[in-house]
Amino acid sequence: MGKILVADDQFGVRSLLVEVFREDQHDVETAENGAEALRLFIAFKPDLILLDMKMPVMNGLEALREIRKLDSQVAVIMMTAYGDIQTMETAKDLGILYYMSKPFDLFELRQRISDIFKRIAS
Amino acid sequence: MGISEAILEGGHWAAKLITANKELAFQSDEREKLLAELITVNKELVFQGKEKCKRAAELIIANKELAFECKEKGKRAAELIIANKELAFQCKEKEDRAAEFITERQRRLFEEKMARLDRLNLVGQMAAGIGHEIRNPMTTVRGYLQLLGAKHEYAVRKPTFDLMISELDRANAIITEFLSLAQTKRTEQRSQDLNDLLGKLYPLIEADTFTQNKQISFIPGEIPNLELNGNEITQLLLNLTRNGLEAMEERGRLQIKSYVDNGKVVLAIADEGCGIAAENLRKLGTPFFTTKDSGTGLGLATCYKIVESHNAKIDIDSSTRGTTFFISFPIPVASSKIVDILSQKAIHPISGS
Repeated sequence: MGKILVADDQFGVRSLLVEVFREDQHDVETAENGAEALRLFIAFKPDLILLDMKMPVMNGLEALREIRKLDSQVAVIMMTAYGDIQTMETAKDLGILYYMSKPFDLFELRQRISDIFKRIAS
Repeated sequence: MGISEAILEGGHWAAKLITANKELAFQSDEREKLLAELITVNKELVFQGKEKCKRAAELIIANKELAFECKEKGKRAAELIIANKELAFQCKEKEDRAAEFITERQRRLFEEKMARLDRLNLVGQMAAGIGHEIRNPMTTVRGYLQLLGAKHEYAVRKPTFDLMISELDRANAIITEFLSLAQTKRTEQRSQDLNDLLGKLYPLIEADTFTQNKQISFIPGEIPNLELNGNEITQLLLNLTRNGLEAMEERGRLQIKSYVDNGKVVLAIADEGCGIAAENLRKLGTPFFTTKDSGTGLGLATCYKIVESHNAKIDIDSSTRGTTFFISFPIPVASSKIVDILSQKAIHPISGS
């Protein structure tokens, strides 16, 4: 259906999301840190980015900043295990569609992504 | 003169002499009588004199007796004064010792508090990291449970998958509550009206109440602004009202009141539940202590922490007719002028309220 970039330093989370998105016929690429996310954003040109907050090398917020410099429109969903309000506010200012607190409801995430792609298609 | 004349004269004289003699004899009798009377009187006087002497002697003895008793009393009074001084001294000793004890106890409490704060600080720093570390693997597990639980081949075990997911959510709730409990940053407080916060939450609480077929009243009093952290007070209110509702049977009434009392703003949350057992009252607010089947035991601990960070106090009144939580907030100096006006108003209550 669409191209999704999953950026998370956790192997388990990446495995889970890859399986789910491939089941839904999406094209998925994964990154382990913010720098890799930026590189893949340029190379893979995803329609949607799932960005985790806490990652080594470059964290999610910094990666988002860099991505926004290149593309102010690409759909981004932020994930976080921290629940740090301040960071979320900053991310919102940079422009994200949703943020999901970990552990999230997989089906809710799935539904939201489906809605996003419906909107992109129309 | 002739003999007859002489005899006559002699006779006159004799008669006169006899009369005079009778007179003298009479007088003599009289004198004797008087003398006897005088002697009697004298004896009487002597007797009275002796009596007076006896009495005087008795009085002297009595006086000596009194003087002696006085002395005895004086001695006893002196002894009592000494005993009194002794008691006063002992009293002071006891007071001094009590003061030392209090100081010692205060010092110990203070040190315990500092040690606890240090531990909390460390715990707070660790808590955020641990929360993150635990939530990540939890994300994987929960996600896969959802994914696999939806597959045909596991349809017969779907309830088990749902149970596993809800157990994870419960564990996550504990982390959430623990993280808020462990946070020791000085929370941001600003001057605001408690009734405003209550008012914003009220529709939420009211909805919950009606869902449970219970009743609720909200009685906001005239109160000055307080230094409050909105999020924390919200959390506090939700926890206490949730507890209050859970404690009651259907049709029970939850009452939320705010008022000024004794220089403090009091928030009172009263339920009509069955009350808190005495042995549990002591443990209230202890982390992980709960009487609920599916309680985390952190709700009240969080409330106590929030109350502490607002320099407020919790008092609990509980009986078989229900429980009331009283939270007393100190009034900031700037607001206390308003309190003076309000408390004057209290002296002349508005009729009909």
